[in-house]
Amino acid sequence: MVSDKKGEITSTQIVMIVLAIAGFAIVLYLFFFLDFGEMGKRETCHLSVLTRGTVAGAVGGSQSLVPLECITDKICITDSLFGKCSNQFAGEKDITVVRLSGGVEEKRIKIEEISANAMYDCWNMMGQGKIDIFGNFYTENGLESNQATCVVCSRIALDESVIVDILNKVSVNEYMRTHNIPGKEITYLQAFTDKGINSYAQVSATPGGIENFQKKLEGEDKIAVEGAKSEAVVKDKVNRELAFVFMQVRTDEKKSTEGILKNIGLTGATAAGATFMMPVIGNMGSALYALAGGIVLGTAKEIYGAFNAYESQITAAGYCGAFQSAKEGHWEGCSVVNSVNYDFKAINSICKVIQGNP
Amino acid sequence: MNKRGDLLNNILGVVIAVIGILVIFGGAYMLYQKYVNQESEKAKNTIDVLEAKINAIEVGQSTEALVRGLPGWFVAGWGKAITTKPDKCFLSICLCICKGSAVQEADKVKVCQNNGFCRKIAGDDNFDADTIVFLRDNFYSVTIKKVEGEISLKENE
Repeated sequence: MVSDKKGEITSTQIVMIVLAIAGFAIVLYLFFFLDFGEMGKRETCHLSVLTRGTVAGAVGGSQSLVPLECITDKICITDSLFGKCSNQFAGEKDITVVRLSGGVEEKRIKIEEISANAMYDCWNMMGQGKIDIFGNFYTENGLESNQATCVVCSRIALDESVIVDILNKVSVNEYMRTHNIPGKEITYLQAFTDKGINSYAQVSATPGGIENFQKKLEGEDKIAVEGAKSEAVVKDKVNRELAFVFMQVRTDEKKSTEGILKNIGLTGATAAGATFMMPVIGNMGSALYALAGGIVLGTAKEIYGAFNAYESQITAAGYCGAFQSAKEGHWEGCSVVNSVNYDFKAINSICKVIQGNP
Repeated sequence: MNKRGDLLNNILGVVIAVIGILVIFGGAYMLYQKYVNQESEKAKNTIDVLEAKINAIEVGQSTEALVRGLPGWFVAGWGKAITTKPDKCFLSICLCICKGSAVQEADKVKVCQNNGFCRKIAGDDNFDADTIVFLRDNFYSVTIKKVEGEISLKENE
């Protein structure tokens, strides 16, 4: 019997081949070309934070193998049609430009909204301070532990077109006290502390008031902060770029953060258990970006944290206590989100190590 | 028996197998880049930022760049007229980030040739670049300035 085996492709086979190639093409397209934008970056960062925290708790887990996929958001606020913060972002990519519109009040509110969201998003993205992100990274890399490690979540720059009259009216603290987080029933202040909290503690913006505040913060474990203070940058001009920085410090093994929380409480901070917002320095209506200078508390072996005093007029929010993903041995530490002048001396004086992709 | 055209009966399987192999190798390469090559990726990011800042400004302008330090690495630059520089710079103004020691000029060239990432900068200007040795893992500030005939890159203390 002779069988004819000429190689005909059946219609079914043709359809299957076409479907296979089309499916592969769609997967490639989704992979390379779809840009999920800011939401995608935040979720990617958050996922890497969770992964790091999980690795920290795992037996033999190595945090340094898990990179933090946290890319600094760059936001340019401009009051002109063509402004793009070229002074701050020259040559940089992936800038989000926000053009202000309306009157002075509308513009002020917009700046406050962007700043408040930047701070809140940073806090959430980094696990609200409760995940041990940097813990065994130090020992794995032969570094001294208990160093303040930071991730720069975002940079907000103000174009020259945004006039000082608007900046002088900006008060992010007041915005966070009075406005609800989009899609939620609580204010930013309540989200950082507790649903029942509606006001900030305040510290007098006089040299004596601030010095007194600093002393209470340092408490009995007074550490040598002179070195850190000498790094302070004093400016008398309008600062047009802020960085929202997440900072975390771990205490020595089995050392409690109870003392630190007590010191924070002594300053009159708005506290709710282990979470807190630092007192507001001076007048609630103080300018956001036109700030005078900074005295920054440094870190040390007895570490309890690094908090800026009046570096920025935006109060800092934080958490001190046990880290949720800690390995056995009850690791504790403090996490803080705050705003800092985007200046290398200011940031380096509080951040000994920087991770993520600034 | 005529067995012509057996391959055509299996073509679907072949196509899927090829696609699958490409996906597996591609995925493995991406995982390698992400997890094993972190330091190199950070180094490339740093040098890319500096290159972009240099290219973004015009003559008469200056800008400041904050870059993240990478302990064990250094940044060095060479002008177009300098002949002793990494071969990968060829005949251009060149800025490199390299892993190793930067004590002597000859060391710098050798280290950058063997273990560095270099970027060529367009133009014929002199290039006055500080050698920036990264000792810590936080920020370094660099001022980049362009004047007629010269580009400078200076570390801010």
